[in-house]
Amino acid sequence: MLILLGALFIFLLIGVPVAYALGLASVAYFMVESPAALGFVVQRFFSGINNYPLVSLPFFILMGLVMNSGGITRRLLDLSVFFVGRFKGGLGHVNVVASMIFGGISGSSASDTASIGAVLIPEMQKRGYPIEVASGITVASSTMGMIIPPSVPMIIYAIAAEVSIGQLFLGGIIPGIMVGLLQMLVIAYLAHKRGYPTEVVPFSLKAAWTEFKNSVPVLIMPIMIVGSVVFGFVTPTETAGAAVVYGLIIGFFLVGLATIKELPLAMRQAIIMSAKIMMIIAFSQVFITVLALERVPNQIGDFITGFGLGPTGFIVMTALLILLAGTFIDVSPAILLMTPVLLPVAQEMGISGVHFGVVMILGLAVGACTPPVGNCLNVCAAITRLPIGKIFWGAAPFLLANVVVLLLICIFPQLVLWIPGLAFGP
Amino acid sequence: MEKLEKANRILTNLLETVMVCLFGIFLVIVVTKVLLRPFDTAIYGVDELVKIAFLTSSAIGGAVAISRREHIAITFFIDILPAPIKIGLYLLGLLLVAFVNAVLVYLSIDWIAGPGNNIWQPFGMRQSYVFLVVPVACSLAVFFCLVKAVLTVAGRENTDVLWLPED
Repeated sequence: MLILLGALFIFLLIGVPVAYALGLASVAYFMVESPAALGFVVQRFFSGINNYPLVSLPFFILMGLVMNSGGITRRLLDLSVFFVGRFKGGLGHVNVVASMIFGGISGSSASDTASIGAVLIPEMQKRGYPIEVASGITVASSTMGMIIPPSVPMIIYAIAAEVSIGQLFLGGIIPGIMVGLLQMLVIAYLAHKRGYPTEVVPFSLKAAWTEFKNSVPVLIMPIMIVGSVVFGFVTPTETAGAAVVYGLIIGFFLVGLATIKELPLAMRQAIIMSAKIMMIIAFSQVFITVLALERVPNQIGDFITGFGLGPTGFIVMTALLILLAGTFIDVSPAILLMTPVLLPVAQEMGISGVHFGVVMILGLAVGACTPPVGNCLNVCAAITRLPIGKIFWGAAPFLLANVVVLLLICIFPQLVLWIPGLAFGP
Repeated sequence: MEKLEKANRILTNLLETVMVCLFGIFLVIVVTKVLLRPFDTAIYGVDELVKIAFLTSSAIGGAVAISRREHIAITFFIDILPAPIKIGLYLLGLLLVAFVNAVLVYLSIDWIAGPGNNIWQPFGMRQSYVFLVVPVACSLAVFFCLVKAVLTVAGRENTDVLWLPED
């Protein structure tokens, strides 16, 4: 086990891509411990990518890229301004609400930061918000892209943990909404304290109906996706494929031909993004085999049992570990590295795979906004030209909301499991 | 050196085109399957076809991501090191990636000769035809690693950002 973990640590430290670090560590293990079983490496590698549900991965990524066009973002922002712009700190609330809706159509925090940040940060600056606060709200609210379904990290976790994608999607709804509401509470407090402005939006039922009508084609997309996955009309892969086509049709009517013209580039981006995750999945299959051979989850389980921690104590400790790991490791590799090690221990303690998954993704979403490895920070830094440290401090009060929700869902699993329980039964 | 750069660029673009075409194929197949649902009509073997197209594009994509330096890596620690050490570790990383891919190519020989003779249902063909994707993609990965290493040593690669962060 020492060879395996030591080698992995060194390879990751010297900057070897995560997928190949997993492969190298496993090959090193087999070469030293069991050369006769080396042939197993290629078989497990192949079985890692030979998996039909994984086909949904590039589709969901492509759907996010297609929906990430200017016209669609603009409509969501107009809708959000109409409904929450009139509160104190209006554009801050707009940022959070737009991220909640955008999270339901893009499935990715980085694309949420890019599309909403590019429009709202300059606008917020003009209205007197300090740039680090505007950037901070954008970055922190984008975490909902991972939590509110559909979510690409949830799909990766569902495959790694062999749990239902539908249950995970439903499990993310309450925590996602709680994060949004708590972040709005922080904005309201800061707005009153610092005097952030209110947007002037005259209200009439007719105007409300018009705004709603303009956004309906976009708003029904997450409902259709989650609904069809949960109720099993079609498989998640088929849902994702159909969602891409639906996104293209909406894009065509809202944005025009540009959506179709940009499709090959988006497809290239989606398939490369999915391929690099697939490589991690393929090599992690080899790595998991070695972990099982070495009985690593059992050893960790015994070690943790020695502390006398109950399920709640264990999941709180795990959440803290995930928060720490998220600061150094990207979301997908973190899911694929930690799930096979920690999930068996969690399940042994009676923690549901769905509950554990939502805790992991919520924790890693915070990690995506913390230095040194924070993708959302990097995206925001590219938009604002601010150093990531400044953006992080701007985001810190809002990320606290995420941490509070993380602790709440650790202590009260029903916040995650209630909706999946209603839909799928206990 | 210019010829090597050109060959690298052409091969990468060609493979990307193949990947996008495969992606297009399995997208069309999946959407057609959804459209046929209300008519209770199934097309024989489509799931397997989609799986083969997907795993081929993923395996090739793994190699292309080396050429485009898009693999996910933790570069925070080596980014803070002095430039010569940083470049040295990047080169070492490339050689290690080439090594693990070469091991997979070597191990594929016995694997294809053995389990590869089984039949891939529902097409009734040998599994080895699909298994070939692994050694082909891994050989491409070895090629791209070596090309990147040579171009880096020759100072023709920008080493400010070694691997792009996850999107």
